[in-house]
Formats: sequence, structure tokens, C-alpha cells
Amino acid sequence: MQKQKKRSVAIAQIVISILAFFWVIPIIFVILQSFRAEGGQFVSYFIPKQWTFDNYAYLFTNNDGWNYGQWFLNTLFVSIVAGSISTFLTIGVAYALSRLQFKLKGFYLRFALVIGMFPGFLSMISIYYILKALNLTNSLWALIIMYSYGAALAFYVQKGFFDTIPQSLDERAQIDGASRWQIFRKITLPIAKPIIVYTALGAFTGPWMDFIFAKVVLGNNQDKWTVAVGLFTMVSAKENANALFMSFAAGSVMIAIPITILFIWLQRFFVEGVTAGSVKG
Amino acid sequence: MVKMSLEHIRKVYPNQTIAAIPDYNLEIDDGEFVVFIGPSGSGKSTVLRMIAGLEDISGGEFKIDGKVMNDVEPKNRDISMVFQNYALYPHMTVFENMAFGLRLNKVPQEEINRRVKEAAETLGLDPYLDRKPANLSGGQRQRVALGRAMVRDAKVMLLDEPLSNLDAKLRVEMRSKIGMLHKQLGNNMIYVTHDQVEAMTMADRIVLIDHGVIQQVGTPSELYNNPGNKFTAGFMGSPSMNFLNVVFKKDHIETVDGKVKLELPKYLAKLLKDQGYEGKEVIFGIRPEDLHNEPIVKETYPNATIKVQLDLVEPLGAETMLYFHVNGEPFVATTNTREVLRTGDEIELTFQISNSYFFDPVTELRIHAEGTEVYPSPTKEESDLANAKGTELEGTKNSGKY
Repeated sequence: MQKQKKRSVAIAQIVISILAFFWVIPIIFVILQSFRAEGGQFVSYFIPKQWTFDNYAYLFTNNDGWNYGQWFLNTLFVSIVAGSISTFLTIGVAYALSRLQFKLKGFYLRFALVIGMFPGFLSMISIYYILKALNLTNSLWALIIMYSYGAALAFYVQKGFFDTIPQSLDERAQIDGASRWQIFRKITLPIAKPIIVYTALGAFTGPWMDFIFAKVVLGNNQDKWTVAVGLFTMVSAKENANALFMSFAAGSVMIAIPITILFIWLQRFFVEGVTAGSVKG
Repeated sequence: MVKMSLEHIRKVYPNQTIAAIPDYNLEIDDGEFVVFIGPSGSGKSTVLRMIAGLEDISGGEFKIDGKVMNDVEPKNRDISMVFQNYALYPHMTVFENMAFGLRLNKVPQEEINRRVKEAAETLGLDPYLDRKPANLSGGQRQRVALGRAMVRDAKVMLLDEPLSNLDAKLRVEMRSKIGMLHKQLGNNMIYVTHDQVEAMTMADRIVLIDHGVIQQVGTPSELYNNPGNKFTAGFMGSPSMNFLNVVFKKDHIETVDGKVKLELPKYLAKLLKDQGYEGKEVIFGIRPEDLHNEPIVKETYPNATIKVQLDLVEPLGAETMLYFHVNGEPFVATTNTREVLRTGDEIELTFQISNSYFFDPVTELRIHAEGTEVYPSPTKEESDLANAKGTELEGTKNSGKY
């Protein structure tokens, strides 16, 4: 019995280790490339022969018009604003659909489900023309609109969470004298912290990582680019590809840092059993 | 001083063709402890929630001290409520849970501290004020829920099956605590339960509901000793009353096939005769505790003794429950026999026939003598039809409102 248990644990460990190795390899590769001093996109070895910080420095010294610092700030700005708007919309819609009774609610639920099955970029071209007609292209605000317009349709997980918060808590608060807003603010939101963190993370990482929408909306104005668009352009031109590859890697590492920190920081909110003890279970 | 009245209260849930509560009338006096009791789904909680303001009232008027409260917000009704599942705020400490309502009402901090402390002392919650609900036992959570309602100092306290999630011992303890609380606070309490021991022990008045229709209102002993119809008679008392369809013949009753024959005392025979049941079918009801196997009872009612074969014997210590069938109907007898009986034994049981009840087989109303006072319970037909009456339109009409 004991032996068998040990063996299956060992097998699991081995499988996980192999998988982890394959997953970590590309990341390690990119990090190593970002410190490589000798040039060239394609080299036949893994570990750099000479180490340097120049690749990072290059990004911020604004050589040749590659304005990485600006892109970074743009991305941060767009992600924070779009992330906040989407989070607010998603949580608000999910709460309303979970708690309030209104006409056409059932229709909206089904409608959202069907619409949600189409990939987001299907609407990209039409939205691009709408934005163009409104004279909004080539701006970060256009991108923010692009990222947040769908938030009101992506509420299913959040609604599911709100549904698990007992109705009697709302009723109890109602009798205590709380208004709808107070119930939402003081009772529901604190309990819903994990789902809000989950939503916010998703809403932030979406724009942070996105390439396709940014590419469509932002056009040729380098100052308005996000990191994804900028980095791609850096290495997509043939004459640059070889020279800038290490800086491209450095840029990729830089963009991963904030999001890694964010995940580590927000992780503690994902505590289990937040509603424990509220009602008899 | 609070006097509450429910006048023709009606509840139809949206898109329903049947009324949950067809027509509910009740007056509750100041300081009264009223218990709503009924089987599950009988609508007792619905009425409570309408009083609380958590459920819209579809028709009729609910008044507190003569003022119509139908559209008044729950917070302005001066009520507090204890929920069956406690409904504690999980992210707040016990103190904050109790103080929440007071804070919303802008009660000064000192006053909050004083009231919470007082309630905590009464309920023995002092040591737990800083804990979160997750770290409390079931009984402690229930006490917090009670405390929360207490600090509000509301004129009306509503309790929705507050003890049903506790174990038997705690239930007895909390029962007396709630009783004490009522004496101490002197407010109106409306208590919903399906446990008749709670109802019998705590209530000033019991309101027995079935399918949203009030079957009988009265003191616990009135409901137990003087039921108005078969439903009340069958619901109150545990185990419940035994019923048998019999035919009344001159001085005795017997089953249709004539196998079981019980002689009636003269006054009972006269009652049935006077009410015109001679030769007709009636429902005979007798409580389990009025069936005896002691010889002395048999001597008193020699012609009301039958032979039965026991299906099951349940010794409870002080008493023994005997299960058997009479003419195909399941019967229970609660005897305090010392005799050791076994399943399958054949014994003689005597009906203490003077304690029996008779009901009309159609209306299921109790058959009683002229001049004796019996609660005007609804007939079976009235109960059955009340919910469906004229609701089809209402259901659609109300559905738009929600």
C-alpha cells in the first residue's frame, strides 16, 4: 500500500517535471537571449558567450526611433483604463443579472451566450470603420473602447459567483436598512473580492498582451504604439531582425515583469471559503 | 404599542395561476407571541416575508397600528428578522454583524457599543465578539443572528424557522432563550416553524396554515383539544391522530364491512344522531394516547376493545409506541405499558371513546353539538379551491410588476 502510493507520487513528479521543463525552456531562452552580447538572430547555442545589459539599455535610449519607454507607458495606460472599465462593467452586469428582476433578462442571458460564441476579432473591421467615422483611430482611447466594449457580455463566471452568495444576506441587509447600493458596496463586494480580482486580472492582461486589435487601431503613429505592436515591428523588418533580436527579447522580458508581480500580489485574494460561516451549510 | 392586522392579504407569484396565499386575515395584538405553523410549502414563510416587506403583497392590506404598510420599505417598518440560515455577513466580526444595522441608522458609536454589549451578555456571546462567523459553532451563529435582531430594538421581531438547523439539545436551550427574550423585550414576535413542540411551548397563539389557507387560530390548547376540522386534528399532536371511516348506527360505530365495532357513550350517540348522521358515514378520530392496553380501561369501556396484531413496537422508555392496522388504516397507540411487547404480538386495545372526535366525511369539519364553541375552520373543499379562485388573470397582471 505504502509502496504503491510512493510509486504513483514518483511517477506524477516525473511527468510534472518533464512538462515543466518544456514549458520553462522558452522562457529561459528568451531571458538568456536578452543578455546576449554577440549579435545575430539565429545562433547555434543556448547560453550566451558574452553577457551584457546593453540590450535593455538600448530599449530606453531611444535609438533609431524605437521608443520602448513610451510604448510601455502606453500599454500600461491602456491596460489600466480598459481593465478598470471592463471590470466595472462585467461586475456590474453580473450583479444586476444575478440579483435584479427585469424585463428581457432571460433574453439577454441567451443573447449574450450566443454572441459570446463569436470570436472577438470578427467585429474588428466593422468597429475599425465605426471608430474611423468617429475620427477616433490612431488614439489610445480608441484602443480602450475596443478592449472594453465587450465586457458587458462576458459576465457568466461572475454571475455564477454572485448566484452563490445567499439571497438572504441581501434581504437581511435590506431589513437592516441598507439601500441597494449599500448592499452592493458593503456586503456583496467584500464577499466577491476573489471574483473581482479574477475579473480584474483578466481584464488587465487582455489588453496588456494583445497584438491584433492594437495593430489594427494604432496604424503608423509610433508614439501611440503599444509594446506588442512596437516589438513586432522592430523584428519584422528584414534589415533590423538580426541586430535587434536581443533587444526584442529584452523587451519581452520587461513586459512580463509587471504582470508577474501583479499575479503574485493578487494571488493572496484568491482565498478559499470567503463565504464560510455566513449561512448554515 | 403595536397592533398588526392583515386584511385579505393575497399573494400570487408572477406567472402563477394558483395563489400562494388566497385570502389571509389575522390580527396580532401588542406584545403577542404568534406562531405560524404548517407543513412545508403551506405559505407560512410567504406571509412572514410579506410582513417583513421582502415579498410584494398582491392584494389586501397589511397595517401596523392602522397605517397601511404594503408599499413601505422593509427598513421603515420597524421590524427585525431572524433567518433560518442565519444570514450572517461572513466578512464581518460578530460585533460588526450586530452593529451593521445600527451603523446604517446612524446610531452614535457609544450607543452601538452599549446595545451590542448588552445583547452579547444576554446571549452569552461576550467572548466571541471579535470572531468571524466561520469560526463559530452552529449554536453560536444562531445566537449572533438573534442578537442582531435584538439590538435593533424593533417593535416586531420575525423569526423564520430559527431553530431548525440546530441539534435537539441546543434547540431546547434556544427555545427557552427566545421565550425569555420575548418576556424581556415585550415586543411582538411572529415565529414560523413546522415543529409543533416549538409551537405548543412558545406560542400565545398558534396560526395553523395549509396551502395558504388558515385552518385554525387559537391558543395551543385550543388547537389541540378543540380542533375545528380534520386537518387541524391530524396536524396537532405527535404522533398524529388516528382516523377511521366508520358508519354510525344508533349506539355504536362500525366499519363498513362490520369487522370493527365500537360502542359509543350515550352523549356521543346523541350528538351524532342530533346532527343527522344516523346510518351515515363519519370519520372517527382518536389520539394515540387514548388507546390503552391496561385492563382497567377495558373494564370501563368493555365494548370499545379490539384485537390487533402489532406491526412494530417502539419502546421509548417512559412510553411505548405500538403500530398496527385497523381495517387497513395505519394506527398508532402510545401506551405506558410495562409489559414487554414484541412485533407480531396480538393484543387487545381499548379505545377511550369519550376522548374521540368525529368529522364529516365530505367537509371534514368537526361534528360538534349545538352551542359548543368550535373554531370555524374551512371545509376541505374551501381549502382546496381557495388557491385557484380567480387567479389566472392576476398572475399575468402581476407578472409585469417584477
